[in-house]
Amino acid sequence: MTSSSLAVLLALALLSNGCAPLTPPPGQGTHLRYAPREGATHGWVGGPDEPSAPESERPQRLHLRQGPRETGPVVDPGGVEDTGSALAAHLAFLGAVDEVSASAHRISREMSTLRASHQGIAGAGNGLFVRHLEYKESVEALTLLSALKFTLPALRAAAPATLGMGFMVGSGGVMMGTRMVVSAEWVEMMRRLVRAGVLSLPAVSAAVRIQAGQVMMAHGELPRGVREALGEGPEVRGMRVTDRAGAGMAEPPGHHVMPQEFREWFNKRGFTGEMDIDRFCVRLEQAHHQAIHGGGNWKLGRTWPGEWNRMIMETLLEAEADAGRMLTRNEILKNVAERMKEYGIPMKFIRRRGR
Amino acid sequence: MSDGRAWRGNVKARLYERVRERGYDSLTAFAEARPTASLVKLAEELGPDDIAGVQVFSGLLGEAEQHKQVTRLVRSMLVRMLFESIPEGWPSVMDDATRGEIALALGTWTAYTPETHKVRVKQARAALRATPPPPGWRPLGPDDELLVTLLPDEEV
Repeated sequence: MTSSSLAVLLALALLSNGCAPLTPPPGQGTHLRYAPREGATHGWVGGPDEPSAPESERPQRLHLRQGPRETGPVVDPGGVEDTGSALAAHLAFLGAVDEVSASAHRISREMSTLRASHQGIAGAGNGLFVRHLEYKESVEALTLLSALKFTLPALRAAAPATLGMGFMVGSGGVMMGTRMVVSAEWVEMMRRLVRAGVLSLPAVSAAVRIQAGQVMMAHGELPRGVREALGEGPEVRGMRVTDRAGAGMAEPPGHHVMPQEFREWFNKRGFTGEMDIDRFCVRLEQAHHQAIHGGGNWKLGRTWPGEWNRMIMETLLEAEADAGRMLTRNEILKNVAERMKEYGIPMKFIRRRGR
Repeated sequence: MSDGRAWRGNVKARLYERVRERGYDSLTAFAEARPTASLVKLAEELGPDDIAGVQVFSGLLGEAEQHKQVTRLVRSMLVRMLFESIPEGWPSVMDDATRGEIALALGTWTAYTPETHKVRVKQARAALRATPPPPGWRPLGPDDELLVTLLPDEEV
């Protein structure tokens, strides 16, 4: 990694982290901040992920659409867009990269302070790089949300805001100028379920309504299977500003839903990369965690262990024996989601690094 | 019901309090009055915010052990699981997706089966594979004829 790209990375990390005092230069008030203006076309300035990557590696779904009422980047779920808009987005993107590069120079000065004051650049850089990845993921997650006819006017510089983010409803929505927040877990969950094929984008769109400043789940309109997979209430309750742990910025006290001892088994069934079992972790109260692993005194029967890992793996292994084939990732995910409901485990996934 | 409230306080006391409030003197009576409802549905009826399906099952099992009716409970669990997976009944054409669906229902059934009955459940599954039930088979309770043939009572 070149020093300049490292600097950009660190700049991004700092911007998304918000731990460094960063003042935009005069006249660049929109630096990593989007201020809606009527009728004008605005660049996506908050998503300079992978600034050094070639264009083909950037998210192809992000386009800038020019329209009388649309004031921000809109994601086209199908990834099809006219080239003019794509070009405009590209130019805006490059502009944003330039801005970031400029600020990177300023930040490099800040960094020397950091270097002196902390345990050393290697350690700091490591953590910052992870944060950069988180940031990139949040941008990707938001491209999904914007497919729900949200525009994304502001990617604020403060750290948790990169995930627990403010949205403004654009052309397809109902209101402008009111902020609302969606939890990182909710964004993550939607993204995972869509990727896993459990949910389709139209289903998510249909599931979300804007009401009085809140993102509401329109449960009544969800197909039963989807509703089962999502659970009833926690998503709505989960829509809130998250803390650093909730936003995945700190190591959360998370527990793997799919037993880590069977990591290889899950790998072979498609749980890799973005769908790695490390991405399917939940936070549980200690008593809850102990109970589902066989602790506590909740069990009334003697002859059934009910222990979570055994329950999950026995189900899946026996099912494969019956089916005479490997289970697909979606089948596994749906089944695990059903067990989670039965065990009262929140369907709010966080990410955790494996052992 | 997934913010952890189901696991606070005295789970058993809460469970039986709700059962009594609904006019039943046992969890089994409550559940048998809803023979095709899933564990989650049973739990939602008893306490949408603070009772989990798995707790309902543990209560049912405790009662079944006490009254030597575990086989009947195991049969009733298959009814609930098949009703979730194939509500229209056993398919006439077994495509790959349906095969996976049924396999997962049977796998879940096995995992919910107490150790004492595991072998018999596996034999019942083998019998189902060897001789599939007629299309449209849709057991609606633990007394379903074919189901009783697959897993007859042995406790007396």
